[in-house]
Amino acid sequence: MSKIELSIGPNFFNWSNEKLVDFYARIADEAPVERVYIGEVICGKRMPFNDKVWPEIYDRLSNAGKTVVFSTIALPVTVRDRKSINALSADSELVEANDIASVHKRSGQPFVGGPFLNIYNEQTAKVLMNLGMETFCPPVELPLTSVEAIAQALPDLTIELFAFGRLPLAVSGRCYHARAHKLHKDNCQFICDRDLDGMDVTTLDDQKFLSANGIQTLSHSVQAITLGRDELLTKGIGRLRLSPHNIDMIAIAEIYRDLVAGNIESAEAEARLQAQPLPGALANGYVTGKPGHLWQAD
Amino acid sequence: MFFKPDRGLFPPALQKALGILPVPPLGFALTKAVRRLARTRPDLFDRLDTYKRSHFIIDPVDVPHVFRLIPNGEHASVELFKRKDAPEGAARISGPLIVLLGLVDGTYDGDAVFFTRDLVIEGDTDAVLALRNTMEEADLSPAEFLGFNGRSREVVDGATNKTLDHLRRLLDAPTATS
Amino acid sequence: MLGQRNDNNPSLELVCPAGTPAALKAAAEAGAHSIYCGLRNETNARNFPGLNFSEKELNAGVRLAHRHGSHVLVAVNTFARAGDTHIWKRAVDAVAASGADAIIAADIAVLDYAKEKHPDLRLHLSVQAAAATPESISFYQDTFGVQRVVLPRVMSVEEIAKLNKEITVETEVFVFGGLCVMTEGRCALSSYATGKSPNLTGVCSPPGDVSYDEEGSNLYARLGGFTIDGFGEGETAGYPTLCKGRFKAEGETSYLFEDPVSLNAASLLPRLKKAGVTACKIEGRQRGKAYISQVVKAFRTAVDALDAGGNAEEEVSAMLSAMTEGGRETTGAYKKIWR
Repeated sequence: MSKIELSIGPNFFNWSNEKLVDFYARIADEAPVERVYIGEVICGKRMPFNDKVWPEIYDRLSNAGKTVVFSTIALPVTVRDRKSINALSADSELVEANDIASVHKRSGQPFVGGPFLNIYNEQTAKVLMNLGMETFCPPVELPLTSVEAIAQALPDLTIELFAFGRLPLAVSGRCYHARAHKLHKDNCQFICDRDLDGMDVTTLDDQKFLSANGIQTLSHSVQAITLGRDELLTKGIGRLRLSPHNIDMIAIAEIYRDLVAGNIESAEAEARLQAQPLPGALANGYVTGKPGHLWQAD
Repeated sequence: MFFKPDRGLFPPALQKALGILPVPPLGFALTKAVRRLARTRPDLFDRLDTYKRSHFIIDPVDVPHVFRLIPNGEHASVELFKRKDAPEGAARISGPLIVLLGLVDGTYDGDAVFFTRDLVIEGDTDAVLALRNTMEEADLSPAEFLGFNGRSREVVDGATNKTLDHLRRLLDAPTATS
Repeated sequence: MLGQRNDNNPSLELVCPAGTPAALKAAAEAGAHSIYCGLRNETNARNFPGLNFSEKELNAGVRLAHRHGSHVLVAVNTFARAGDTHIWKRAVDAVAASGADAIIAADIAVLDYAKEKHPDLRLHLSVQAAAATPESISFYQDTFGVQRVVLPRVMSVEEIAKLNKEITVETEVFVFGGLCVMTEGRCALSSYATGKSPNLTGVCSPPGDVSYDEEGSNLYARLGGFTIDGFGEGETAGYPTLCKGRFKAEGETSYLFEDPVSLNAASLLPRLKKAGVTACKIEGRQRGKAYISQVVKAFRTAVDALDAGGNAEEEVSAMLSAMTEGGRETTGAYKKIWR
């Protein structure tokens, strides 16, 4: 592949249906990306609400010529969660598996191995390729040397790097939004809808550290992989994933479009990203196997 | 009672008295003991892995000397220094002597005395952890370490344990964890 | 045979940790039905300096355990590093050669290799694989022939009971020791702060990245430079495990993710047994032999009392209270209120 594609990853946050519809309408009309991932991946309790708008969003994006992929929930617990995985995975449309349950239900049909799956080496990737994996978005902590080794061993696998956005670090059985607001998970009042980019978690000495989003914990910092076009191609990267935030994602996509087209260098991409009102400082430590919060340019 | 005991610390008068004891013979005896162990239990030094070349400064805060342990198998050494002459090491382990001895014979759990701050660790924590896990595996009694065998080992161990137990109570040292 | 305890005898199998040969011996002597351990390298999820077994020690450990009638389960439960999978394959071969009774694995690469090269070796799915639904468990059962799954510590007893009705593999659950708040195998918090994590290197909040800094009369525990907790004068310090730290959110300071508690589900053993659980697991391969010995004895007493139709709850809780030294305990996610 000599062209690097762009994708919009699944939205992690509890956005209202109106916001979701507007967001994806703009992506459909204006974002220079080939692929868009949709669906609820974090909390099954949000599904009864946003389930209503996904068909409309799917059509909107699809009519605009985007490849649309349904992402499955990362930590299925309830019968409803499991049913949603089974239904999506049995469908003939492309899905992103974020739990191994989805791989099983796919029974050989093509799927994307999402960043919540534990794929750390070429042998695991190969077993999953034999089961239908066509794209692989590595776990965020996987260093680029490992990603490169997998790409080399499996040249037919498309590698999609988590290039922009707060890093999805952990999921839990417990809801931290509910806990912070002294509510019980079963009666959470959907309080996570207040934080469109997650709830700030700072240290005792006020250092910005993490961000909570229901049962999910993200980084406070914003991952930004800004390797140049040639370097990405040498390392076998086929696509960059941009994770949705409550900022101008069209502007973000345009920066990355210029980067992967070879129109601008890393430094300019970084400068243009820094000029955006990002929810946190830039980070890219994971790329080189360092602590994920570090920004190598420091 | 002629002094007020404080979490295992030797009373000041005794601390001073210990300062005039000759230094080299004890270091020599301990070096010999560690090297003997390297011959009888080579597995322990494999367990230490690269940390066997680390310099551990063991600082019994209530005696005037500190120890430098380099547990490098048959090249191991234990040296005593006056505290003011103490060299730098990869890691430093400090606490009352009775607490440090209790770590060797398993009276105290390292984590427990660390969290109560009876034990202070500085420097390379990984090295200290390797040493601690190795001691745990070694399961050494005082007499075994000093090379006593058979009946004499039992006698020495019995006497040492009794003495240490008595001392712990006398010095109001932290409660044994095992 | 492992697992048959449940067929012929409805007794709970007690699975106990061993970080060293000395701890393995202590566990066997204290009455562990099974003992789990790992090789001294990055193939297991307790890859701490000075801990774990050489191949030679593993072989001897298996012989010793078998003499005591205990089974040995060996954890090769980290995710193989790309380009270096031979290290993990070598570990699987060593486990098979040792005569151990089962291997505990999470990585598909490891499971695949074990199934291909050692089809007779019993496979247990590590908690690091985070398989909690009938569908995900069936995947591992159908694809690799996994015979037991260690369940994530995020499920309630009710959910475990329901799950056991829908699956045909055995289940093993944690009952005592450290408690992961995040779903195991799905957590990169530690690598975010330090570059090292359970999945990448077999460690969480590693001691080499910890510092304790005295500032005035306060002591701050930091991990990778991030302040995880602070302690006032005379206050007992704690270890800065990232998810059990004190943080600020919504203008309030709290143990946001989890209080610094450890799991003790001894009181839930009867319910877990009724929920169809095959084995109960004690966490703590990093703990000393004295600790192992006492905890194993306590749980063996509890399991035996349960078998005899009785209940040794008071006796067992007295035995265990000495081990937690007044530290706080929780029954964790087993009771739904935890969420």
